[in-house]
Amino acid sequence: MIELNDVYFAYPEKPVLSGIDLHIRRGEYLGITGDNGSGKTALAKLLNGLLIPCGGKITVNGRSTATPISTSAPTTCDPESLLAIRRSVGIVFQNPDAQAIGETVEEDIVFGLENIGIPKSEIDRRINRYLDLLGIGDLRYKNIALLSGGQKQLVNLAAVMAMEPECIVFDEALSMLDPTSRRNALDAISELNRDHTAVILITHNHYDLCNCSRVIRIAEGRITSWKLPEYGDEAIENHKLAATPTHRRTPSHTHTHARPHTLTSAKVARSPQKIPGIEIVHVSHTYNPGTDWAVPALKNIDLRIEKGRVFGIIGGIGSGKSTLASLIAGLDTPTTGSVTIDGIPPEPGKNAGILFQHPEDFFFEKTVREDMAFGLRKTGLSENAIDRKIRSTMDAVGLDSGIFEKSPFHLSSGERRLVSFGCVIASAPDYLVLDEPTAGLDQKSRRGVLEVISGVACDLTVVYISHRVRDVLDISERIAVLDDGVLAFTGMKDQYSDWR
Amino acid sequence: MMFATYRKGDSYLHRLDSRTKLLLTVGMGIIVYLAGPMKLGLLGAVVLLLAAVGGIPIASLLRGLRPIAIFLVLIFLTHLLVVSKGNVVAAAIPPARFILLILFTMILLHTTSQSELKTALAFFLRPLGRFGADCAFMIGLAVTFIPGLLLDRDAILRAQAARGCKPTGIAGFTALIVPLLRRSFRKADELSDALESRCYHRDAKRYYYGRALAGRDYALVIGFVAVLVLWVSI
Repeated sequence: MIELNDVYFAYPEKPVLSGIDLHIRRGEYLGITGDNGSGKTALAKLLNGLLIPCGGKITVNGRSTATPISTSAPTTCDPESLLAIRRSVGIVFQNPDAQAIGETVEEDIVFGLENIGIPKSEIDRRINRYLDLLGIGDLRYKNIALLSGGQKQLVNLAAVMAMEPECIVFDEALSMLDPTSRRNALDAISELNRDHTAVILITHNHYDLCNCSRVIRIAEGRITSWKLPEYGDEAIENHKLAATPTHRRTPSHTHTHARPHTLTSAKVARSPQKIPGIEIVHVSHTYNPGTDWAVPALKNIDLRIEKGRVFGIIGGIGSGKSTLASLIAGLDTPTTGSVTIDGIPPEPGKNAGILFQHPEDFFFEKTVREDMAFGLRKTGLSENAIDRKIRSTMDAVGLDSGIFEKSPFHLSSGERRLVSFGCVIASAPDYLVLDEPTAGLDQKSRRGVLEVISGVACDLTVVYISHRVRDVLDISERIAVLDDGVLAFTGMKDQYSDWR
Repeated sequence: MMFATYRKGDSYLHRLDSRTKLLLTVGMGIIVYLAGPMKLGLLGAVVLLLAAVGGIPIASLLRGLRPIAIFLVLIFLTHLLVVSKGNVVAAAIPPARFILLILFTMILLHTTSQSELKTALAFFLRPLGRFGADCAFMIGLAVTFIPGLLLDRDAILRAQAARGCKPTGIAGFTALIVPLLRRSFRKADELSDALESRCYHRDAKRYYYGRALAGRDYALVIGFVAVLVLWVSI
């Protein structure tokens, strides 16, 4: 169906892919893996003519994506062929915030179907079918801007699936999903594949690749063969467990292994002495309270996080993880209840630091050094002291001083993540909240970031928040599970498997 | 925010075609502009009537006035002190017109979703041909993207605050604007990829939300024009 012959592709600044020979058969389930920056996304975009090869040839159902290469630079094929190619090959991209074209979920799905002239009654049928397939039928009339990242990702999947192309490319399109929604999405993908839709699944999550009939790896711009690593039965069992839905448990089933609370909120408010640790007492939080679009995010959370350890918080999409992160870091004040750190309210940049999802989006200086120094200058340190601090921070996160004068935008994604990590710990907070710190990283960078977190956790308390159960279990001693805004479990990690 | 104004409902106003509603709202604007004190009072009653028909709480309508409350007071004071020289009734007319204009628009926004508004806009731009269709599509996309832009701005301010940077002064402005522009440009790139991947082309027809104007739409518009003529002549 899709044929790539000796394809070479380069961006103006660097070559990306070379010597790619690939044949994708009708109804095939192909997995593509590879490190960040290896050229996976470029390959995806080449398949439906968003990019055109600088050398070699790509054909989809016999139509070439580019005009025959003459002496001049290649251009895309004629609009009619291009439309036919795009109708055959759909792509779901990674960033859930930049693919919604409609305002509501329904409108977003309708957009693509109108483009290819599907009759109105058939549009209705497809909207119902694909929303149900992904388990988001209730979101049909919702405003996309108000959905969580994971929900948006499911909407993007539905919008492309509903166009029923012969082949769908999923470019890291499941990265924001929690284990349960991820498994549902993978089931839906398998179902499409059984109906003879070719699937190309691009991911660094090796577990997602188990349904693939063939997996290739892209390394340094070339295809290398790749076999699914032999995970022990235990690891696979663990992965399955991680996908066990927790949201069906009602709070009445909750059994809490945490120490009984010795403090009431009234006491916290009065007590002037320092209690080491984070104390979250009767915290509820609602966005836009008192309006028609009020969203309750957290309901009556009581949690105590002891000083000096990594504390893990697990939760699915829309469970209130990021809200809790902002409250602990002092960026928001809870609607009711109180959050204190060592007996005083958290203050961002002072006693609490927070690393948001995709923190590299927030760089703004010309060099890594300047970006790191920006927050420190505000504290009134001398330039020498700032320099020393930056060096020691870079040591702590395992980056060498060679990158100081580089632009943060020219680093690899793993390095960027570590630099932003450094930016936060440079201001020496006692408590650090990490919201999905490994999101979007390949296996190698992910391990690197986890090692660094374990390393710094000797000096400060880390609250590690993620939907990746394995990461949380690897790194933390005590964990809590958030489910639909309610604390469903707190305890040691070995108690977690019993609870589940 | 505008996107939060619409409430789903099944009242007469909700069911009315968005093109008719848009046209009537513009017509109401003309009536408001031509009305004197007595007629303005009458129009106030019309607002209450429409709110009742559409099942819209008055408090929720009035919320639309909040952002421009100071502006309204300023208009009133300027007229009171400079133009009408102490005549309170005369000074109250211009702000009253503004208030009614906003209330009629709020009724439209409360009972019409953005998709319906976009459809109406595309309909009225149709005489401009392809250019009109492009305009309607671009306005639609821009409206969809504004909430995202505001959320991005908040996210960046919070992230910089978490690093201890209070975004003040030139440096603070850079700390906001550089990431915001980078994000926006990247999103625009990604959006265009998503548009193309979903087979967007300029000749695509938008028909799912379209429907034929019903007899009651014509009747309403003709009746409205009749009232307008009468209104002006008496």
